[in-house]
Amino acid sequence: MTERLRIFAIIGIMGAVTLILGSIVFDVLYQAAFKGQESRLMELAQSQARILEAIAQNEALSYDGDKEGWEEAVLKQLREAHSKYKGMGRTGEFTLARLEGDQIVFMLRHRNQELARTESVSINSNLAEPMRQALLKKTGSIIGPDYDGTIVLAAYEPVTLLNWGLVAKIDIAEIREPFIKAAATSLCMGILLIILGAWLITKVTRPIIRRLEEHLELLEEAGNSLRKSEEQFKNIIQNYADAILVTLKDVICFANPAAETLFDRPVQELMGSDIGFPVIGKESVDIQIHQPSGALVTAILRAVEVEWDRQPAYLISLHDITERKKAEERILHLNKIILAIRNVNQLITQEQDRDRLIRGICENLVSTRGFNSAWIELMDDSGACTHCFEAGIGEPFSAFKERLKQGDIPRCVQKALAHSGVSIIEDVLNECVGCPLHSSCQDLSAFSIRLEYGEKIYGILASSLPGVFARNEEEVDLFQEVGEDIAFALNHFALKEEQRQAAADREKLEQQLFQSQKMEAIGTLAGGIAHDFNNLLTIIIGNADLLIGEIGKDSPHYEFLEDLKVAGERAAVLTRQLLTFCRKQILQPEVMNLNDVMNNIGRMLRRVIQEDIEMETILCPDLGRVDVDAGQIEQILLNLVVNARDAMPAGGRLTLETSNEELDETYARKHIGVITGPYVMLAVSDTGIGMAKEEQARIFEPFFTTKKKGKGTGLGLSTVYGIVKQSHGSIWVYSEPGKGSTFKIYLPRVEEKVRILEKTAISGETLQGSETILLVEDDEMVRKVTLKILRNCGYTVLCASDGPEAFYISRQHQEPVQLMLTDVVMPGMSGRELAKGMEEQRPEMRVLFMSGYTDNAIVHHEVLNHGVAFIQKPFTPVSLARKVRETLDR
Amino acid sequence: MNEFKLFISGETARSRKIVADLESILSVVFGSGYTLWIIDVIKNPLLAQEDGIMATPTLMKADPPMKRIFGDFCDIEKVLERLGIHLSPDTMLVQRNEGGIQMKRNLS
Repeated sequence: MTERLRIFAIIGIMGAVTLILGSIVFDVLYQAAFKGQESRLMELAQSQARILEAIAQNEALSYDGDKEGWEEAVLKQLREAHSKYKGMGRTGEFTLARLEGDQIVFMLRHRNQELARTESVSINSNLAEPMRQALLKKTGSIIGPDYDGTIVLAAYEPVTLLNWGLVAKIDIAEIREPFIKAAATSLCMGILLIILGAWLITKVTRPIIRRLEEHLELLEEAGNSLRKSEEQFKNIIQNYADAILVTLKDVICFANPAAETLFDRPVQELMGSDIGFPVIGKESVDIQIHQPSGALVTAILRAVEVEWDRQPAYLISLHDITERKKAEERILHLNKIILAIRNVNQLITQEQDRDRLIRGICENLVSTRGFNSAWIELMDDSGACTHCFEAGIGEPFSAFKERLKQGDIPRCVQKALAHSGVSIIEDVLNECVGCPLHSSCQDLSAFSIRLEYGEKIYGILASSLPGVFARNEEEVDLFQEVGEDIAFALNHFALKEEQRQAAADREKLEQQLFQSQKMEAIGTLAGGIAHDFNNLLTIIIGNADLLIGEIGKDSPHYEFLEDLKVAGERAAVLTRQLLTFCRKQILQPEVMNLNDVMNNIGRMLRRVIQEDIEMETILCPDLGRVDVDAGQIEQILLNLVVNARDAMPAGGRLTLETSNEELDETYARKHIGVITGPYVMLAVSDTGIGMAKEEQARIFEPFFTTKKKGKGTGLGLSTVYGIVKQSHGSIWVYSEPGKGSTFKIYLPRVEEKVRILEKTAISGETLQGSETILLVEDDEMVRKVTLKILRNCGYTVLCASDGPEAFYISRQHQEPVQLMLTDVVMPGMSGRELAKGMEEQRPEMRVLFMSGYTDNAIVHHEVLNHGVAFIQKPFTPVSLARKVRETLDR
Repeated sequence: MNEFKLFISGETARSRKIVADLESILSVVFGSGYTLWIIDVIKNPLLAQEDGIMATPTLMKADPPMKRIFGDFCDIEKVLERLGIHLSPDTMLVQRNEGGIQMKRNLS
């Protein structure tokens, strides 16, 4: 409200108040004055009437019944008296009238009118009401219209004696006039005073009012704010997501709608419930809300002390974290699963030992994942149990393992084997009856999965675990993943094992190749030396023999020459052994049964070994045939038996064995130089001291021996090696120190029937002859001694030092030449080329080759070609004479 | 006399800790002269319903005056005070930590 309005309002209020008060005052005063006037008028009217009546009465006495006379006398007196009458106030007067017909006739002049003039008014008119009342003989007062219509206060009184009416009256206006004036003055003064007062009040009260207004505004604002705050607070509490409770003496006295939801109880039920006193160690604590349906809700509880209805109370807030808890539990659960997978994978990547890995995984599933037990069965290709590992089962697993190994397959394994993926047994109680693990799996479920990688099944993983796990998809996935990881690891181990085996095989093959190449090199070297040795030995032995023949046994030089010859022959034996090793020995193979050879020399072998060695012969009854040199086989057997004997100084067991074998690709891959096919195996085993690997690598080298000095030449096994190789066979040794040795010889099996060579019989030892022989030898000394031997035998000998010379001599000599004795290896033209060239010149001439070792000229694959005559250097005069005679006589 | 009911929800690690804490408090205060009933509301919802249990864990004094508290009971003084148990002066609290509550009688 503006100030002006306020002032007007104050003025209005004060004016109204003043007006009311003034009106009341004036009314009271007016009423008092009015009453006074009325009383005075009545008193005047009554007194005047009585006076008139007294005068009239007096006159009546004078006029003795002349009524008109005394009325006129009275009227006269009255008019005279009235002429001097001034009246009351300005309008106050009294009047007299009488009824004349229906006219009221006034008998006195009215104030301010001519005295003689009387007026009359009809009694039925509305005028001169007081006089009408007086003429009606009534006494009283009235406010009513005068004879001229003026409203007057009049007292009326009848003058009974004269039948006149007397009225004392005064104009109402005159009565009111002072009051109206006073009221107007008062009003003006009042208005002025009011305006002044209002102004003053306004001036004085303005700061107060302003302050009050401010206070009022503040109060209003505070009130509004409070109302708003209350509204907001109420809104917040009602719509707050957390449950809010207020407890007074442990009893709920307030609960918001969220509490209703959280407790699943209506607010009316919550109110008045005894929930108890909240005891919290820290700021908050997780509690479970027990809903009437039995459901549990997890909530964070907070409580603070507050005042409620001026009493100490607790404000409790409950924040529903059920979903969060579930999410946390799920995360925890997933973390455990991830941890289990990580641990398993760590084991897989770190553990190099398969068994330790499998055991570790079982233990991990029990300890980390919380499975009650876990076990893994490993199977071979046929599905038979090979290994079992467990964790969390203990003693009952022994019986279970036995049953597994006997092929008694439990339910969980059956299910797992039936298909890939995880098999679940939820009703272990009924489904697994009879299983040794039945009791330990009670109240649990079981998972099982086959450990499968590619198309290969390595085994089974099975676990017993709480039923809640069995219905959890993540647990099933975990189990499947672990199963797949284990299968992957097992496959990895299998591949590693294959690689390791392949590497070992390769190393072995490399060693074999190295050994083979070494033997080849040694053979080449030994062969080369042997050739020259044989030439030298031919000279030594030949000349010594010739000299012995010439000087006779009685000569003092005989013994020296005999020693020289013997030494030469021993050297020749050594050289032959060397040649055998390097496969330059001439073999004369026959198709035979090795069992026959064994039987033939069995007795001799028994003589070789001492009594404390037990010899056993295991011969395959339907042994296949081989195409070998029988003499060389006997040599092999003898050498191996002697070695076995020497390996068993304290006695032992010697086993000779023959069998049929098929050497396949697998075997060939692991044994260098082996061609696949059917073989006859000859094995010589002893229970002797055995050999270390290093020793085994060198045993076939010439002059390698472990025997004491003088006990062996070091050529025994190298000879065996040479013969076997030359016979297209292979020899392998298996030995361990302290456990003995086994030599296995594989010789190619042939389908041909047994064929024994006929030995050429030389009858009567006729070594002499008269034929002509062409001798071709590049070594002069050999040529000389050979020439001498042949001439001593009676032959005619033509000598040539090489092929071209031999052709020249042959052409010069016109006579027949029955035999050409030629060296094989010569500079320029070889013995074979020479023989071929001579075929045209002298087709009838026979050829006898002589050589320190064989070569392709006369042999094919180290085996003498059919029909070729050959004599091995060094030879004695007798052996040469016999061979020459044999060739000539053939 | 000295009969208490502890309402829990499932046999969790937290429940076990609360039971151990309460037993240690009660055994110090009452020796062997107390009974602590442990009621799993999951297994025995009716028992909880009979006593009007709305939240767990709640500990209730079974003999008058029937007072009940809920929360984690870590504030031993409050627990004792609210259950109307008055410690004798020779009893002292020696440790209160994450590992649990230990109390012993001060014999000195």
